[in-house]
Amino acid sequence: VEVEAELGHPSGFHPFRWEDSEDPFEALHELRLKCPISQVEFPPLPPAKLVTRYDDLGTIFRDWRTFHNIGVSIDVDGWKAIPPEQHGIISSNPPHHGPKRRIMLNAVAPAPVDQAAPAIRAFAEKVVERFAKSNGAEMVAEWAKPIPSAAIAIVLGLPVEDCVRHGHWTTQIILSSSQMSPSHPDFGKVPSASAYMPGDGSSPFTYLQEHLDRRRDGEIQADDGIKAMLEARHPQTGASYSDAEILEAVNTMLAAGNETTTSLMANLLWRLAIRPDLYSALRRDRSLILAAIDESLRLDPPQQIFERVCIRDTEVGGVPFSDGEPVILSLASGNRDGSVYGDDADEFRLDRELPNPPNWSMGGGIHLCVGAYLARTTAEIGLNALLDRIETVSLAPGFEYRKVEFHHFRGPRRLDLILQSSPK
Amino acid sequence: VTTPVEVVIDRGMCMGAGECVFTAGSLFQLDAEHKAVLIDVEAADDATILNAAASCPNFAISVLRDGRPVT
Repeated sequence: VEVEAELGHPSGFHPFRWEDSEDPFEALHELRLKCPISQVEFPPLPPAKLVTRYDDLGTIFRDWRTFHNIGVSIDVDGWKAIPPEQHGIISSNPPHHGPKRRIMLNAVAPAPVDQAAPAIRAFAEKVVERFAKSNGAEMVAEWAKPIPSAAIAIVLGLPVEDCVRHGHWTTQIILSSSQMSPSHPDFGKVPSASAYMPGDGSSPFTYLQEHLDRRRDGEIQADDGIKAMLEARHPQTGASYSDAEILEAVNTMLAAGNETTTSLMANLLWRLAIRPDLYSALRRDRSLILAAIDESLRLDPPQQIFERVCIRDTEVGGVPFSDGEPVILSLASGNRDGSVYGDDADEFRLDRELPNPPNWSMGGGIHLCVGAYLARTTAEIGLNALLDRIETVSLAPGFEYRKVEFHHFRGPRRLDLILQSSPK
Repeated sequence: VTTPVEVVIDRGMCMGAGECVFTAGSLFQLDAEHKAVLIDVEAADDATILNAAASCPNFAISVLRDGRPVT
């Protein structure tokens, strides 16, 4: 296939088109080889640069001064309309970014996550026990959803029994974000505030404010993430964080941590269900688990693309970028770059030579996922609990991987497995 | 022949986020005070070192060659 520079893939490939996002890997492979930075169009979206090589992604991730994070849309005007101090952590830059990050780290830095790990482990073991004696289960609902949801609640100190509700909010946010694609029947409609509310009408902010109030009244006393947030001091002003800042941090964790970690775990388990030899290898040698998680992240990034806006004329990889141009970063592509990961970059292997260059699934530069350590720890705990109780996993007859509808995400909608438990 | 890079961690700036450890675990670790420490600068290639340093949200890690910052 001939690929012309500037014009991108002859198929008109665009990561925001749902049909293209279903199986983008071949088109991305061709683009990496023939037109690693291309101009892509999907009207009425503005034209954007699509970046597909590992090294170019790194250059852009590192240069936050030139390439600003604009969240999950490529609506540059919408991003500009919000004053810098009012952006959430994802789309803000220094000096506003650091304090927003620091407040979240009270719950998700390695130290508080390690402290919460035994409680997450106990929860994961209970979850696995529920289906361990049956000979099959739909593992997204039974395993990949409840464990990350509980892990976030546990590090924060929110009631684990409220997790179903947290999950509803995440789903609503994702459904409304999927409207950013012209493939969505409601493209262009501004999601209403009610889109964020589940059927019972409760909003995450009302729920979280009530929780903070109960903390202040001394009704809840626990050594957890929310307590640390209430006691934290703003690094620049020395003052306490406001309720609004704490609520934003907590809400961001619920919104950004649930679906992503669920997809990570479900993608990983799907890889192992089609490679029973690797599942057995992991049962025998648990030291391979982190390699398995990294390899799953690399091949199947839960979030396939990130967006930036270029804010001054510059050049990357010999290609000019102009002020105001939207940029789409294909993590899914960079992670399979053969010049970095070798000719077998498309293969799921647990024995890649270390140190492997870090994959881009958690992003890079100052916006690297703040919850990366929690996500990896959650997946590790969840997989360990499964390996302890389940001897073999395989796909249910007729199972086909169908990814979630949202163009940004790659995770199976369902994962129907046949299970064989081991004696406890 | 280029001289090897030098990695400098500003302990006062480090807030224990662990992003450097996540990006290059063979290079960085968090110590008992949850501050980043360098384990082995030769355990990674230059690109990985740069990516790990650039992932610090608090700009606590500098990479120098011949005393000058590398970006």
